[in-house]
Amino acid sequence: MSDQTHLTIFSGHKKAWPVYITLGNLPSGRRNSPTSMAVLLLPLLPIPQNNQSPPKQINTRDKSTLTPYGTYSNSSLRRYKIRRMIAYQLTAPDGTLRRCFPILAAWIADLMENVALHEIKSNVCPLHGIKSNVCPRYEVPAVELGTNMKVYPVRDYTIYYHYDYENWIGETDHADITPESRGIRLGQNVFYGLNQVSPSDLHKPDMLHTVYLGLFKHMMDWIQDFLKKHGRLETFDEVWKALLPYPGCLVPKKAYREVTQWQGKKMRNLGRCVLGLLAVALRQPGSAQLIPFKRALRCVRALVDINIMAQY
Amino acid sequence: MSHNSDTEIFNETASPLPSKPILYEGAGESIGDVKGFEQEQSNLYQHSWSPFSSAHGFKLASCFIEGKVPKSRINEYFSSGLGNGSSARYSCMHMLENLLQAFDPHSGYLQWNEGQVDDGKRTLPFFYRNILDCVRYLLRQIAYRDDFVYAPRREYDTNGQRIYAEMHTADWWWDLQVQPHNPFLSKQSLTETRRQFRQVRRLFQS
Repeated sequence: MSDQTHLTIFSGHKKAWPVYITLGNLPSGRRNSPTSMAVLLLPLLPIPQNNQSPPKQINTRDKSTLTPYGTYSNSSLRRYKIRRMIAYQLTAPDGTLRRCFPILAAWIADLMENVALHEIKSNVCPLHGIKSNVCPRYEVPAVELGTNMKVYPVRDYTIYYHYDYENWIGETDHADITPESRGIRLGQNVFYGLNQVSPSDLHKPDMLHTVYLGLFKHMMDWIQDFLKKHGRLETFDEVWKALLPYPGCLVPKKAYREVTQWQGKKMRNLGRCVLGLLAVALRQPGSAQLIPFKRALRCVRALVDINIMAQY
Repeated sequence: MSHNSDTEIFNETASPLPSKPILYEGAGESIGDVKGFEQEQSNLYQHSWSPFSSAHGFKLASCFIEGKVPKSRINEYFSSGLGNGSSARYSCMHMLENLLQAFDPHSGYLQWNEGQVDDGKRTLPFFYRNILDCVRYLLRQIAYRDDFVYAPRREYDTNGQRIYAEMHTADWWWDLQVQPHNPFLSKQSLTETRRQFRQVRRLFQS
């Protein structure tokens, strides 16, 4: 896991990327507990200043050197790569020798860092002009992100490299299928050449971007439309503003629709109380509203349940 | 999770208990014992506060470290006669540092190495640890002995529905450890890669 951080002690607005390692053999409760000390710092990588503003004119094959991890891929960081499937005899905590195959299973990082790690292209939606990043796991076109229109295939890097090789030697039937058309850049990034590792499998959704700023935001838009349709929007806003302060709970000053930008922390706070607020807003339903209200509450409750389970 | 409002469609039943899981025979078996491990264990039981002589020495050291007491203040503590060095087995910061190094027998795995990265204009130093040594360090911790998982398993509830909980109960681990014909390792894949390399070499030579 890694997260870009600013070095406040040293001057010059320097950034560094610490990378941490832990073992998947430990149950998540034990692994994530701070007192277990199961997470070790691997390197502390300084980010060279010129990497933060890459030049515009550059050879396609050299684009990988622009990302922070790409720079290290051609230097000493290469020794981190376990290129072959090697079995190591390691001592287990129970005092026995075991044959171990160290494999990179996941890389937990924020979305923007995943974009840098996987060297994903930023696409501009041709319809709406919105700049968005393509998905690191699935082959979703930028225009279809969030629409949930169909099931998309998982990115297969072996096929990408195969097509790229065929294009390069000029013996191809897939000249139109380029890495750029799939929203990625194929280069020697940090995952290049790792055996038993499919880069698309390494991406794991994080709570901030997937749940708080993704699912919750989508759910709140849906709830707003639902309440508007049934004439309960004002009631919801009244209950929303009447929330009492509680330790760890931020009291909202404005109605949901009056807030232009939501932060992850506030969205998490919303997740804690949205079900109660909705239940109050939907009280005393009419005979025709009974079933839709019940279904809406069930949907929201399911999502809040998933959030509560996923946060551990 | 059951709730009264769910009675519209679902017939709620009691939460199912997990039935017998499917294990992969032979996965994660040990291939031998480590020499001296039993002795290490018995020493740990007999001398619980080792390398400190007593609970007093250990608690005093942890108080210094957790309180982030500066080295000079620790030396002052002993030189002014406040601390009893004979009961604590250390009477200055230097001795305490030596004891702390002996405290973790596997700390040698966590050595830092220095590397260089060139960004085109200048060379920057960076520090890193050996990734395999970090794995060795974590694997050797006796504290994780009861929690460690060595093999994947498939768990089901009483209705035969698959239950996904920890990482070892999901498909990724099972597919990687159980399926011998992984596409990354298959002979066809290797042959194809070699053929492509030969072709590229010919192109360069021509």
